[in-house]
Amino acid sequence: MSRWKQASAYVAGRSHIKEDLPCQDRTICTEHEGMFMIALADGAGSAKRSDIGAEATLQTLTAYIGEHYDKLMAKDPGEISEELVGVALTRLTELAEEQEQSLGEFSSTLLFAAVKDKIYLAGHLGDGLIAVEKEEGLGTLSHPENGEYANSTYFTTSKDAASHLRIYKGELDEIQAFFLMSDGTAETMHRKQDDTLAPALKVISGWFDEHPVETLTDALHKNLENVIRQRTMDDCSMAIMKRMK
Amino acid sequence: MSNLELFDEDLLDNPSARVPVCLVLDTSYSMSGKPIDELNRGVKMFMEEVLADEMASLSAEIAIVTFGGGVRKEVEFASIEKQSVPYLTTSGNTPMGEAVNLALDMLEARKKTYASLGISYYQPWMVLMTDGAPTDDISLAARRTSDLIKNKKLTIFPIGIGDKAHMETLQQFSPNLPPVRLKGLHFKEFFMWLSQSITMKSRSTPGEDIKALPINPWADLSL
Repeated sequence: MSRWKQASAYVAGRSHIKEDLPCQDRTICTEHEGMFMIALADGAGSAKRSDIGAEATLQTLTAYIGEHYDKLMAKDPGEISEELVGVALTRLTELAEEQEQSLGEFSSTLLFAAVKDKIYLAGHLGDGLIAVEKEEGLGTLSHPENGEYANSTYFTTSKDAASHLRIYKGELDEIQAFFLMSDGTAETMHRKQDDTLAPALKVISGWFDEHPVETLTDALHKNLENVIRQRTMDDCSMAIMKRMK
Repeated sequence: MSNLELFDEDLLDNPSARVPVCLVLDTSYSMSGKPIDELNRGVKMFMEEVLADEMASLSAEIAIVTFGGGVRKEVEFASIEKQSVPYLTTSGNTPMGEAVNLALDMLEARKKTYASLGISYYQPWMVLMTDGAPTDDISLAARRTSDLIKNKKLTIFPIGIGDKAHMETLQQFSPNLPPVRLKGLHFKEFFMWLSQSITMKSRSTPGEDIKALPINPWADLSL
């Protein structure tokens, strides 16, 4: 059985700091009976409790996928999308009722990647980016889905969210690492014009071969804070997992 | 930790998402004198304010179309750093329909340019200012703006200047928002509001509804 090393971090963007608002990005790394998973959610800009919604979505879905991984893998992508969005909405609806808020206040995007043995399952709703590293180099697994305009995308609470949750599954083959990033981070990690990924991803991947999880988590946080955030106004987050040799 | 640092050369750049804004301004003969002087001051201040803001200067793209005697492209869409402030003069009648049609064509062409270059953009804005009534047929132009607004592809700010501005005409361009009459010749206050609104728009992220700034510094709300 392969072991995967995981690390993630999130920091508030410069505009949220200026307005004294919380970071709306969240990340999580989990492990469940041989399944390794990373996930990331970017709370909707003006939704008042989207940081809470992002956290709840990640907690609920990572637990659910961990519990039902084998059954999910036997299903079609469309069925998986419906099921996962249904699970997330059930939890968000509960939260909305508990906190006497509308469901939309808990909206977020969703990105995840899970691996077990030689198979992976990944999903992507909204903007942000999922990249992979193979022997031959970096590649984009899933691009952002925006509407026509820069400030539009799809969220867990959007109409037809399930039809926008793109599911990827298959053999790992040569995939060595998965990188999830919010749109704030993707601004400096991915050039849209020619679909190029930043050398930084290779650099970070190299760190995973040499350092423990605590050091990696700390390094991700410091680089998001001191380097990546300086080039955007948005919240920044990353979740990474790499196969250990 | 000292070796776990990223450097600028490890990262990539993307062009800022653009906010295309087209000003469609009445320069007919009735705007002569103080109104055109104030309008010129307002446009100058607007372009300077946008240029002074870190985000807005990278995001805002401004074009200016005037209608007075004929219809003219005074300023073509471009990065504001490359543009010069126009000096507007008055002349003749008020071909508003032709001017709005030209502005819509320019906005459409600009969006195509963004798409071909992989540049993200926000919903385009149009400011339509007049002190009178059109002297040409506005029906096609009004239908075009109305359709775009209903499909969330355009935001229009219709502004009347002075008592003779034909507000019913302006309303035809704007099915959602009623036209607003400028308070006196408070062009500078209007353009300050516009530059601040663009700054907010250029900082907005997915799912963020931009709250409109109060318009009372420039709008005549007495009616």
